Amino acid sequence: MSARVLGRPRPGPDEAAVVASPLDLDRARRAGAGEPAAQAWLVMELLPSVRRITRVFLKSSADADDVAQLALLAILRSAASYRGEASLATWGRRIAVRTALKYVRARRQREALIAGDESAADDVPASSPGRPAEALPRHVREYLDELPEAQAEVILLHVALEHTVDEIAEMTEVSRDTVKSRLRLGIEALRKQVRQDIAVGRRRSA
Amino acid sequence: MKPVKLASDEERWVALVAASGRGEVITPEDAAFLRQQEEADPQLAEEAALWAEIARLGAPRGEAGELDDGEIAARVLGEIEGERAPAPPSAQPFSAWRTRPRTRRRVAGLVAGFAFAAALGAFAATVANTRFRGPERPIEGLDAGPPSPALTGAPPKPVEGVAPPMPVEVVAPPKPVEVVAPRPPPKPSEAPAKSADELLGDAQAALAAGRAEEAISTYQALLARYPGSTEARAALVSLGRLSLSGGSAASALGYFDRYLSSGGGALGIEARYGRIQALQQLGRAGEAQAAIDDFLARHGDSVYATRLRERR
Repeated sequence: MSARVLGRPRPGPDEAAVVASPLDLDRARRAGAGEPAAQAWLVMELLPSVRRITRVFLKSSADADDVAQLALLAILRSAASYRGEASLATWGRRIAVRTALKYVRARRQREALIAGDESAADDVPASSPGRPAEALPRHVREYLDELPEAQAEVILLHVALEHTVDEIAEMTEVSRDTVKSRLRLGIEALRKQVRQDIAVGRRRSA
Repeated sequence: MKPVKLASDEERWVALVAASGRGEVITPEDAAFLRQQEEADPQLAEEAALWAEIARLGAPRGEAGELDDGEIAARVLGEIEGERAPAPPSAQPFSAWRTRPRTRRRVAGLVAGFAFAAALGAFAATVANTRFRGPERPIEGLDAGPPSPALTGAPPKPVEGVAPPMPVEVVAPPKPVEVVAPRPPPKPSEAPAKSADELLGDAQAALAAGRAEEAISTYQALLARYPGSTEARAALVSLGRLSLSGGSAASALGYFDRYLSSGGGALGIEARYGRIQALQQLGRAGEAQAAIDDFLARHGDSVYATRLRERR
């Protein structure tokens, strides 16, 4: 519910919940040890945030569902190594983001190698419910696609998933300054694209 | 006021528009900041849709082919179980549908260990419907005593660092935040008296931290203790917004009306805009249209006016 704003003091997920609750830690360990009930609990606990992450990064619902499952499997397989150094939710989000980024990057590489890959046809723009069609000249995914991959990732992580610069730096394994630079450049580029479209009166086709 | 120049202002504006796009409540101060920025640079209002749409990319899409949570959980749990035990001959291996997204939809339900997944799916549904009021509450069958033999098939292992078992508290599914009648302020002996400004700051901090219920009770305490203060009047608009986001349109309308009937003020635009939203949520179309006409007559150049015209 909080509006997470750069440049303003605000607690990030890690600051807000640095230490996991004893119960969460125990349940995660038991899930890591293969206890089915604990595994089921862990999956249901993290499922909403994992699905949100994969919907942000994947255009087609089928891919988003697939990657959500891959991320949850990665979480279950990593559960034994969970030390409670961050909240369970934060830990799970990190794994899900890394899984999604890995999938998206691998897919882009494949598509770059195989011109006309039919899987690209699956990339129908994903709509948000209730979104007014006339609000933007083009679909938001089209604008993001025009950005360099690294800038688009940072924009999605920060604006759509509300991660801080520090969290993004850790997830994407680049420096904090690089994240800030990508964020600034990405915002500038997106604003420029939208303004240009509006200026020429371009309207999204139905 | 100059247009947005500072990166921090630009990023703050983007973050606030995104939060608004997700349906989050923003404080009156943040709303005023948005208005100032968009009035200084009217093109910002046209860009707002971009950031709001990016912010909503993680929302459920409502597409027919999208799997529901239970199906995804069952598949994952079936797969992880299949890693411990060989899959039955008839089962569809996870890797097959993972690499063939179209084919795997035709074989939905044939995941490894289907019976096992179904059993755990039922358990997971129980867990999903079990809301506990804090992270320290054990769940029956998970924390309170050994897991069901039917689920584990193995004796329980010792558990370290777990709180003693407590009664399971199963409550109703999550409800929208409800704004109820103001709570009486604490007695002087219970807590040191805080100023109106301090209470407003506390409420805003709670809101920023995502503690909506605490923010509501603090705003209400502010109203009760300092009903004639400027801070209390600002709290009316905040409570209206919180009520709106919590689905309590009638309460929201009451708060906005109270603010406007007390003479309005700097947050008049927000209050009138919120009043329109409340009337629309209540299905009072005629009154909502009248409120829109009144709004456009009063604030025709505002950012909200642009949005209202776009929705017509």
